[in-house]
Amino acid sequence: MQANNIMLRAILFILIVCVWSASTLTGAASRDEPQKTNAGGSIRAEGLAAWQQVYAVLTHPRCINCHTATDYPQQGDDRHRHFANVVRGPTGEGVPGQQCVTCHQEANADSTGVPGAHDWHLAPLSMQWQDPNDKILSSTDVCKAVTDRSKNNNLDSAGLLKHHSEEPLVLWAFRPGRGIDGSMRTLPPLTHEQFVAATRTWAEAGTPCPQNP
Amino acid sequence: MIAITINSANSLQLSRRSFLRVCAAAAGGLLVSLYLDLPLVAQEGGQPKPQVYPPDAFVHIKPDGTILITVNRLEFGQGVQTSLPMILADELDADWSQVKAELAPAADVYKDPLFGIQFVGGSNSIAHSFEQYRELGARTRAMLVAAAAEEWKVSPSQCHTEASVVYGPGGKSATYGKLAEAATHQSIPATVQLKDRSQFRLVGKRVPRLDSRPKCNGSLKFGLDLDIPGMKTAVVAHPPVFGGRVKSLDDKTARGVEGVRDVFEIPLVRGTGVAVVADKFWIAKQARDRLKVEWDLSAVEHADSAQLSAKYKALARTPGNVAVSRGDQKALDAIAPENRMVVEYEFPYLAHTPMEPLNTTIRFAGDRAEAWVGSQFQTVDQTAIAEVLGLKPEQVTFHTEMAGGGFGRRAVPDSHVQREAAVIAKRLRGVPIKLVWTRENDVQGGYYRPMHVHRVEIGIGRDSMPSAWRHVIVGQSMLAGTPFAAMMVKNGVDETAVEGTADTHYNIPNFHVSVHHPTPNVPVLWWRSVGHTHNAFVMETLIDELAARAGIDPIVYRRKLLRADAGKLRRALDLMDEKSASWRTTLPKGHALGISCHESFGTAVACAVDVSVENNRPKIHRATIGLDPGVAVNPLTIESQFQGGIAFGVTQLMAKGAITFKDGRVEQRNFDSYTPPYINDAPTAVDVHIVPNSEKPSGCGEPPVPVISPAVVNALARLTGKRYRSLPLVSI
Amino acid sequence: METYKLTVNGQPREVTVDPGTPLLWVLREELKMTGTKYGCGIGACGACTVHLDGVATRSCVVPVSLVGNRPIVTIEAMAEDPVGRVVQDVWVSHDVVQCGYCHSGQIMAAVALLKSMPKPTDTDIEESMGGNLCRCGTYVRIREAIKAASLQLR
Repeated sequence: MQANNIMLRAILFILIVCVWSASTLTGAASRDEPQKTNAGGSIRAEGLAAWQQVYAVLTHPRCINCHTATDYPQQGDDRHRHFANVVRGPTGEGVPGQQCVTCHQEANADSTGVPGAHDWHLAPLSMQWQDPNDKILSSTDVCKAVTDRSKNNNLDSAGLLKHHSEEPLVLWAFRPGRGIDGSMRTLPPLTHEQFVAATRTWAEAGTPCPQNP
Repeated sequence: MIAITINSANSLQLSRRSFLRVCAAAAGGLLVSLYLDLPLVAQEGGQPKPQVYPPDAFVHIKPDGTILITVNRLEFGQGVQTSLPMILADELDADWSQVKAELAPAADVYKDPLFGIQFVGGSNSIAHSFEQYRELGARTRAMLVAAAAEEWKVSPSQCHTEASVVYGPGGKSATYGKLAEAATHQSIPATVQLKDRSQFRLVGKRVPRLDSRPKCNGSLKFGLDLDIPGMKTAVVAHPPVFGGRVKSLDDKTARGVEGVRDVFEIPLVRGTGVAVVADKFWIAKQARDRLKVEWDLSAVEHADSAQLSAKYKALARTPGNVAVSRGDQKALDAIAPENRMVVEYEFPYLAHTPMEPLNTTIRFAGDRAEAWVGSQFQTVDQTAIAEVLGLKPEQVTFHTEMAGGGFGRRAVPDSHVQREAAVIAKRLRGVPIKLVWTRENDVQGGYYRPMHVHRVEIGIGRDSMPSAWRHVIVGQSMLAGTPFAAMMVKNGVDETAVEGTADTHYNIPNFHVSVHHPTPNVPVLWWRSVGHTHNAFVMETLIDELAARAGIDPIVYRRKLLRADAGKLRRALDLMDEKSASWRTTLPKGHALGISCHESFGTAVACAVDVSVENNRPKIHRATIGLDPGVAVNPLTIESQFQGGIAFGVTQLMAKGAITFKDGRVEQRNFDSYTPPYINDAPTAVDVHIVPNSEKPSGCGEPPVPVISPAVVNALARLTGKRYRSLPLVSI
Repeated sequence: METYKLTVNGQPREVTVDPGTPLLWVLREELKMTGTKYGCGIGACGACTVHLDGVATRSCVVPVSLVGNRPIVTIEAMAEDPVGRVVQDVWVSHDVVQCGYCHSGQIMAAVALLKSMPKPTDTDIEESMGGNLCRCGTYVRIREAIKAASLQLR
């Protein structure tokens, strides 16, 4: 689930870059060239559509289960509270007798059903994508949170793209392994490649965020 | 199928006398006398001593002064491996630092003096064995004194004993170790003077457990830790619905797992299953999980919790078999509707889930067998194993292994786990087979505390006290079909289903309790404190509600309603009242007090809890317990049993504290879905106060369990204004 | 089957097992170290807790293939550990255990807690020990013993 944390950082970074470029484009368009406005509108629409794809991934249980607003992670497709009283702890890595690495190792443990990847931990509360009652935030609110540079560890665009393509926790979400009952965990709605592509499109459109309905 | 006999209650005394006679008649005198370790003297070099079976020693005084006391019960946490030796050592005047304890194997001489089987149950280990162990200690001491007196040519009355030494006139003294051999030549005294209670030196003292250190450094071996040369491990696939049978089996993948030795279908007590035998547990489990089994589930009922609930609730509206009928049955109908209440309660199935998963090891050698089991039912399990193997019980050497908890789950009348192991061991003759139930086998394997529905109609009198009470209980009989049925199921009433209600200590003039025993396809079993788990909850929440309705303090109300002869409960309540007074009156905002009291297994318990709500769960900050158990043999053990039993009782309140069925299948599988209390669910502090009492001791293992859940929801009711009548406590 | 070189309680050990075999079963069945217990097999009860590179770890869910070169310390070595010894001693003096089956894991978790938080509060104890089940319900005494050990270690 930490994949999402990294993914989030990546997305945030892309967003920031894109917000900057989008504003430049918009500024240019508004000055004198209607054609560009149309083109810009088209890009923005494509970006928003891409964001919806990104949002669908971010809010998939593989991702959002560790972006809680509570002091514990969730698990399973029904996003129930993690068993055995696992808690967030001061750094999102649990507490001394109950750290994330108490169970979660560097790779999936398919023989025992415990997922794993490097540096397994809970996303910080600043990156919560749920409210305290476990309700998933709206597309607009997640987008705003993700594009808020004060919450995203101030990542730059290069760092974000790197995270998206290489970060083990991002990759984990797309290769989540087997659960306790031996069945494969469900996957996010996009492949990793599609996810990166959608993010790129969204970023190139200036990381537009939808309006609250 | 089950071949065990239990003496009727009337023959208990006779049984005890004949037991002692047998001991006295034994030529070697090893049973109540000393088991002298002469071979040990000769073989100080460390050769193994010859094994004798069946064994019969209770006390073994070694020449070096070590006193080995045999415990005729299973030790699985309740502390009997310390408490029973204390009782014997006290009468023996033994030096406690030299006392060691060991668990007895299955044998006639270790059967419960009052029942005809060797077992732990009903919280009666101390209650039933108290006099027996005292007499054993006193007789042994008398023979040691006689041996010294003979040597010194004085009268035994001129000698006295202290800390494993006999003292005689003129400053003479001899240690028990030195006297042990001579004592074997003494005759066993026919009668013996037991100590006056004021003379006890160990009984009544807070004596630490004898088994702590090995349990803290990993060296203590439980049944699951057994390792015998050549041993193989078996794991079994059970049908998903009780009684299902294997229709077809594809074991190709399973057999392909390296280290698998055999895969075969086996008969179970209910239906059939598939056993996988492998070199190691993990291999066996991997292979078991790769079996492709098609099950025939057509001939068995598919239990379903929702359907059972509806059925039970309908049944509860009809009168059942009468457990008690006192006063005027129609009194209720004469009471004005505004002074009547009708309530319905529901309780789920509960699994015991002892920490050490169930296991049994058996080696079958054709004309004999050896078994290693952490068993609460030694002679019953021994007989079952013998039956499967075509042997006589005495041909099965049965070792009692230390067990990691049990709570009733290791006392199963049909010995289904041992039968499974025996079937597998029989096929693999000569190979020691360790059958291991995985936690999933355990959670889904049945033998649960039964589901129950209670329906209660109460009429309240002018004094705000209940004057009429009509109570219908619906739940499976635990005893039907077991050897206990003859004694404890009468007129269609299983005593264990109504205990705690039918025999209430409250004075309710017109009192009528009846019971229905449906027979859904779910194996059920006693769960620590048995019927009191649900009966105490119903009674103690209703009494609390009546007190609240009357605007009377819950302790005052209970005192007023208790029968005059409920002395133990009154004393427990008074002590709890006194000890909780300071904190009860200074509860922080957001906290509430909950009260309950209940007597079970002869022990009266009163409980006060300080509860708040945190994260939508009850937070139990403190519990103060007053109890009256008669003589408190080891107050330290009692304190631990009560602290632990209170936490165990919280199982009933857990959000995931239920076993449920859908289409015959158990919906839980492990501690992720059936979740007993962790440290933050249990009370933060439990102070235990014991009423001084010199009456004969009563049980302490089960009596703490019933009081906690009603006390907690009584507190919640004060916080939320709601009454909680359906468990588990999914939301507040 | 693969061969793994492990360091257990300071000793080099070598085992040849299926890579998916949990460390718990390697300890119990290959190395015959049965102090570490099987309770659930899914990391929900803590009976199997060992220290892996100093971290309290549920050995029942960690395949031996993922152990790497991290040193493994088990309950059998706690008597030689300065904190472990104190914890074992207070466990005995406070008469904490009942059946005792979960206490290898309880002690391993408590030692991990005290090593990183020498003065744990009630909340710290509840959180750090929050995944270790005890069906006998020895929790009150576990809590008292950890506080007593904390005092002794100062």
